[in-house]
Amino acid sequence: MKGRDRPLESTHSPARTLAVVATCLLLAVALLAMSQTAALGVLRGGLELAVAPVQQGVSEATYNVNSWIETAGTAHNQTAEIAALKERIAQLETENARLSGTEAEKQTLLTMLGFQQEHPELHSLPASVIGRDPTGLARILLLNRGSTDGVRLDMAVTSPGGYLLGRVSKVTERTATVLLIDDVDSTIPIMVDRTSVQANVQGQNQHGGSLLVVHIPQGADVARGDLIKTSGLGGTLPKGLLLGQVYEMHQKDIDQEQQAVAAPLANSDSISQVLVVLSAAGPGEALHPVAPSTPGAAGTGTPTPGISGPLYPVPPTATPPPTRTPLPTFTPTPQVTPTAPTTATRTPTTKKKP
Amino acid sequence: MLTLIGFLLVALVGLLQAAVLPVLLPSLLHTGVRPDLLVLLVIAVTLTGSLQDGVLWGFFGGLLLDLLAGLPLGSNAFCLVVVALVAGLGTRNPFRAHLVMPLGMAFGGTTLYYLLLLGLRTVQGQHFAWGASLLGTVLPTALFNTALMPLLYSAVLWLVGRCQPRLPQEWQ
Repeated sequence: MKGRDRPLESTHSPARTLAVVATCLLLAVALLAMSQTAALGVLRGGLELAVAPVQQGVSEATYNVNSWIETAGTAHNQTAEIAALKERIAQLETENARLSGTEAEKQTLLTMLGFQQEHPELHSLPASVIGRDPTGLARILLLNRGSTDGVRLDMAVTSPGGYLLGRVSKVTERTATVLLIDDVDSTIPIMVDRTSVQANVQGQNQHGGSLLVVHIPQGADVARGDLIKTSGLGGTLPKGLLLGQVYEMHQKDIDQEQQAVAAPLANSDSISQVLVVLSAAGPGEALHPVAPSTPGAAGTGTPTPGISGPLYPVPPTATPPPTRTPLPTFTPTPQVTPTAPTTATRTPTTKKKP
Repeated sequence: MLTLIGFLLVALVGLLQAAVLPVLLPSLLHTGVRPDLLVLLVIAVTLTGSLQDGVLWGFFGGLLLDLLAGLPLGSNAFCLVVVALVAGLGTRNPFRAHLVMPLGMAFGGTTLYYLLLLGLRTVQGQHFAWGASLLGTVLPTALFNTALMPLLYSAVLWLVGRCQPRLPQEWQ
């Protein structure tokens, strides 16, 4: 720095600096040590009460901006795809037209209504996503609903269309933390929708993957394209919530069990509204996947990698989350609807390893 | 004065980092890598201002980040205070005014911050694939932060120059 711009080296005395450093370090360590205690929970609740409105406002604005960006980006991708794949021009144009109009919104609302009618036993609470782990080391969402709204530990959290996103791992008065299903700490008992084979799903995000289906009995009928849903075992999650789709099998003849790789159905990265499943008819009660009345009614499904042709009628763009539409309290408002894989090409692609 | 402005700035950056960047960046950059603006801010203010300011900004910003992201209170605060302390070592370096120092500190400080976070969370019972986390998250973020540092460093340098008392010209 030159001339008049040069500031003094430091305006603080060494003793004062030392005191500040020591105080901050001790406070941080003390807070860490007390992070699970009730006293700190009260303090945290008070602080969250102060910052939550600001955070929610910023989050909503961000999601709006993000939906514009995604729409613009998707339009660009569609243009490139049309140029590359001439035979799909008609189909893409149809989809573009539908997306640009109000038809998609209408279909989504119809699907939401269908989901609600199919699952009268499912009582859920709409919640907004107001925070995420900024480092990406943990796959969590912070919701604007807490124990005062009836949210409890281990409750299932779904996308608006009913795809399982994760379960509540921490609750304060005003907020709840959701551990997503693709976090390495998440293990969900599941069953394969087609064959009712039971297994577990483990998160693999921090390992560079998505979902790993483990403990599949050797010889069990599980194939690429199969949908997986919660089995209800353990009693904490309702039975029948769809969460993923198998896209790769790992089988060794010498092993007693096989494994499969699956992709989550809900896109948790850009989701802004979720449903906390407060109660079903009872623990382990079955829910049934709902087929939409029209193919376009499906919402933001995650395309399954490696499978040619969509198994779901997944639109080429993520439907903007319904942040502009007020969500009725205690009413399931699905944005994404699980759909039967009627168009699936279930070609078994089991990798047999010697 | 710098501390007071720092609280406002850190609050803004914390909100940006916890609520805005995790949503917008994947759409804009099509990558999971996100810059850690608070780490850069703490390093920059420590190098250009004082260790005390860096520690205070780090502590306050870390608490805010923990609060906004639903993480255990104190984890980010602890890591950022340690990063400020390490960055404080750079102020005694003869190359302090050289651009290499903030760049090196950005890379090293980000790596240290993530290692501390990973360590803390492991102690708290979370599981991590250390190799995948280091290669998939820590290294790309450290490189991203290093690339961003000149921009942020210049901004903080300007801010510190405005806020701190200056030497009269005849003394320089």
